[in-house]
Amino acid sequence: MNNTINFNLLAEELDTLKRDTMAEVGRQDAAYIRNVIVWQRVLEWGGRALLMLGFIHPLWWGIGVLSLACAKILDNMEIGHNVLHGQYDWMNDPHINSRQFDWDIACDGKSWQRIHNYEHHTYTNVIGKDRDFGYGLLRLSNDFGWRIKNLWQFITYLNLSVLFQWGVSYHELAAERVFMGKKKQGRISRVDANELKRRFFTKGAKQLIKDYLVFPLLAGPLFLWVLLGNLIANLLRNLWTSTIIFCGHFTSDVHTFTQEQCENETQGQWYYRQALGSSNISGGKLFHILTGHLSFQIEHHLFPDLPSSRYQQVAPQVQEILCRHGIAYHTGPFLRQYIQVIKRILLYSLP
Amino acid sequence: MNVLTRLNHATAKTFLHTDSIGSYLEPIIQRFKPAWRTHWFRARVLSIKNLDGVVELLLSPEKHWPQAKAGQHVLLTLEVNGRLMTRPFSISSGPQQLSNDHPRQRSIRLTIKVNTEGGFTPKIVESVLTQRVVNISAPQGDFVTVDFPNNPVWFVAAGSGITPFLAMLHHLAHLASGSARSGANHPIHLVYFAKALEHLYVDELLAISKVLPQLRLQLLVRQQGHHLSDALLHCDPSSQVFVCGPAQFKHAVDQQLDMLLHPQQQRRAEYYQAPVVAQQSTGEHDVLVIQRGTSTLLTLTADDNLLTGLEQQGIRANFGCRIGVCHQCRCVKKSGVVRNLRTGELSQQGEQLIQLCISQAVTSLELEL
Ligand code: FES
Repeated sequence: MNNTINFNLLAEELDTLKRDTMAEVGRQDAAYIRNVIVWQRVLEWGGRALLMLGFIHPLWWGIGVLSLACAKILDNMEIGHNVLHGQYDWMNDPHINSRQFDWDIACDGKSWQRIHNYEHHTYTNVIGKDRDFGYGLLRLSNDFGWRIKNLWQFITYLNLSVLFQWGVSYHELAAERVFMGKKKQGRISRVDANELKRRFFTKGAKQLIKDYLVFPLLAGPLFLWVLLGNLIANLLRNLWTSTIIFCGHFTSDVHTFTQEQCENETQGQWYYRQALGSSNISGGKLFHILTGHLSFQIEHHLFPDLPSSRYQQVAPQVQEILCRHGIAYHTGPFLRQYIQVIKRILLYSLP
Repeated sequence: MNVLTRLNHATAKTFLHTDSIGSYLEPIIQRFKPAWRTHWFRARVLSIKNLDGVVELLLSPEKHWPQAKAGQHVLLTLEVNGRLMTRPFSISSGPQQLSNDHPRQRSIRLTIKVNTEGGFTPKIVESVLTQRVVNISAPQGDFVTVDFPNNPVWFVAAGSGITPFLAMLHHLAHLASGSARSGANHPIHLVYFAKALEHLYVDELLAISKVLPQLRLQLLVRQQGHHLSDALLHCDPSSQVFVCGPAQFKHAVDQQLDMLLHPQQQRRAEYYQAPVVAQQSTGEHDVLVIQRGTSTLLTLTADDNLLTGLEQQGIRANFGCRIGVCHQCRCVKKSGVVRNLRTGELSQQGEQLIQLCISQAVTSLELEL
């Protein structure tokens, strides 16, 4: 780790920022998340209704698809991801909290909490510990040896994006080598493999039955319209979430860390690693909401349980603190960040 | 009904990812009906009076709120700056106000002692002024008296512990005035301790004693040399005793009654923990752990975080990072106070989600894993 940085001071400043912001959290933030939930419901059912109006004019169907895709994106990103992080637990609401919440995606919420909240957020970009770095599929830095399959990893990446929800849902099972491979040494499973399988299949089946059987059947003669609409909405959601998430950790300047580097890490060093392991995307307010505020990946990684409604507010202060300590703050417009991601995937596909 | 509920759950789980259709729609319904919540009743705030040190809330419950028995309490939920907070309070209204004959004219009176250091009571006024509609539970508890007692009855109250007795006395007075059964009128004693000049509802009590001649009122002040031992001196073992007040008060009454050889089965008590103010977290605390329906009572030393503490006692709880990041160790704290080890803050008394790995027991706790 970098020795020129005063980690204690860094920790103190970021802790204070978090404490002060948390103290302001209240009515406004509760109203915000409820508001987003209302919009999600309206878009979802508006979308599902419009899908059936395709026979009047295909345009209605098109709007329906977009509306449903938006609803799923809101559900997964701004509501699901953040509520499952416990960002809104302070509300004491029996439905909007990290214990109760489940989302409209193939991945079981509890599995996500184990693999994402715990592994990814605790060991961010630590090679060998954070499976989110490349998802065990892509080679994204020289920390990994080159293998022949990396040659076509760009195609792998496209497939992953298209099937993203299934990738996410299979993530823990892959880590636990439930179906194939040898268990990694030292990995302690928290849930037994059969339970993982059971949850994977029940949640997955529910999603399939819902979007590709029940709703199309309800539409009667419009079966195919609805089926196709749901398929495209899910696809759009997959592409969007995958793209945003890749921009958060795989732009060119993002750092990786070794396991030795983060042994006995102090709070300041932890903050340092979180900041360098992430990158932001600049954009407008609506854009941020649709990314679930993952466009503030740095802030999210520093303060994973700060309500997303506060990321826009703390960002300038975080940037100021990091800059003062000489720590890079990676940010840029969407296209620039995304091009860097693509370059990175291509670059490391060669030895 | 049961089939419907199950259908509701199944549909909601499959299609809506929530536990019921109601909870899926809740944020939308709240737009039209403020404070609409599944499993809770709504109550309109009719008035709020700030007597010194005490807040009196008058609530008008919605139509299908069940009939309350005199002496029962409700859980009151308020939204205080975005946070839902819940506390139990005894109902002090009389039978006329609670009668189901005119459901729309019912009013629930809650008398709440304001503890300036507490997290809930000082905010009641502020939050009720912005809300006008609050949530209440169905009336609950078995702190109720029989209609025509065939033994002497003792009501022993301290401070705001008078509230359930007001309801009971109103109820008994109502029965007495409407019935000819006055033959076996056993005495009813009310022993009521409070600070000097802080006895609540004295006028009401005097009015009741006119209708209920067998009522013996004792309004006492400890600081003026009144003692429990004198007040309870004539309580004979056949009496029914009801106690309501702070936990220490209840213990003191129990000790007295034990000395008088008054049998435990003849007693009922409702008591509350006095709020903790920045208490040292040392020593040991009782922790009641509810896990998949079974409960275990443990004693934890206060210096460890709860996660380590529970593990040492052989309780397996979910965890991940153990440093407060991942929220996997969260559980429902039903009651009690914990300290957040990262911020040093003390929690509320009531029900909320906590993270075991960064919480430390400050009082006895009830946890649901
Ligand atoms: S174990 Fe991760 S927050 Fe407690």
